[in-house]
Amino acid sequence: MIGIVVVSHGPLAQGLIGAAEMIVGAQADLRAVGMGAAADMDHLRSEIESAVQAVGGANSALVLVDLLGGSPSNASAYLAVAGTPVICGVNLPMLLELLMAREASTPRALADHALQAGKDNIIDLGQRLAVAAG
Amino acid sequence: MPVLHMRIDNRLIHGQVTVTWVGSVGANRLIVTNDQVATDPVQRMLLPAAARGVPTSVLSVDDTLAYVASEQGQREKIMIIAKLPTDGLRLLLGGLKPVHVNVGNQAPTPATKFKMITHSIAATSEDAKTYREIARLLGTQLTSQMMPSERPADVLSLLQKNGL
Repeated sequence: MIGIVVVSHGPLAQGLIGAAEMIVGAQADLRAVGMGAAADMDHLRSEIESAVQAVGGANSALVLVDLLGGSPSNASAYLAVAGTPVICGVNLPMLLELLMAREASTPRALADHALQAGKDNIIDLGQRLAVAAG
Repeated sequence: MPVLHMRIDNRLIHGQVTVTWVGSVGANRLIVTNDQVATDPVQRMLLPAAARGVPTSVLSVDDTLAYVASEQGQREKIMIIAKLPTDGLRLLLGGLKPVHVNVGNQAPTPATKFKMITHSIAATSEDAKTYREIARLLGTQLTSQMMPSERPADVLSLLQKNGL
């Protein structure tokens, strides 16, 4: 199973995991790292890397961060350069699809899945209902 | 064209900078200034990507001064992100004349005697000396302002209030 670490500004990562577990139940190998206002980059980087270790290690994990160019993604850059997939722009549908798909997958395949799932699930409900109503 | 804004921030380019400051300042070039960061190949790749479309250079203090003085630098609207107060001071001592200098985030360095002067700025007595020197050279207020929409606070008053 591929481990997942969600990294965010403040409590978003913990909140996303809470929301996901409300839907699919408690999950193993899933960790949140929430950056505080006075975070030190080196400390944040080591927190993320420890969380990756805890969910299965750099060759068997995926990192999901909230925002490209934010400190959570910047602190994950060394992992990304070393080959662990780091996906920016995490959202709840993306996380849910990954939790369902991660049993039989590779980090790279799961990363491609994340990119697609994140985009596909941003939907204008009114338009969707209009289409459904014909 | 003078440098519009210098931000002292040891988190470098991050969400607050890309989402709010670049637009508010009206910069069309970002320079991240720190001698160590300028030699880190990951940071040199990462920071331009983190800037999300704003042309970005990662330079040493000396190279920053040279860039700002260059023909290209003169044509641009530059925002500088200095990693440390000492980087900012070295730029001012080198003749840089930013319109505004603002302190963003300074995470505490473990094992130093620091005080949190705001919820995101740690300062030691050494840092306090550096900030005072920056304010003296600048001749205007050295501010602490997380977001462009926030009211700026005066860094020297914050230092004084904390006994630094």
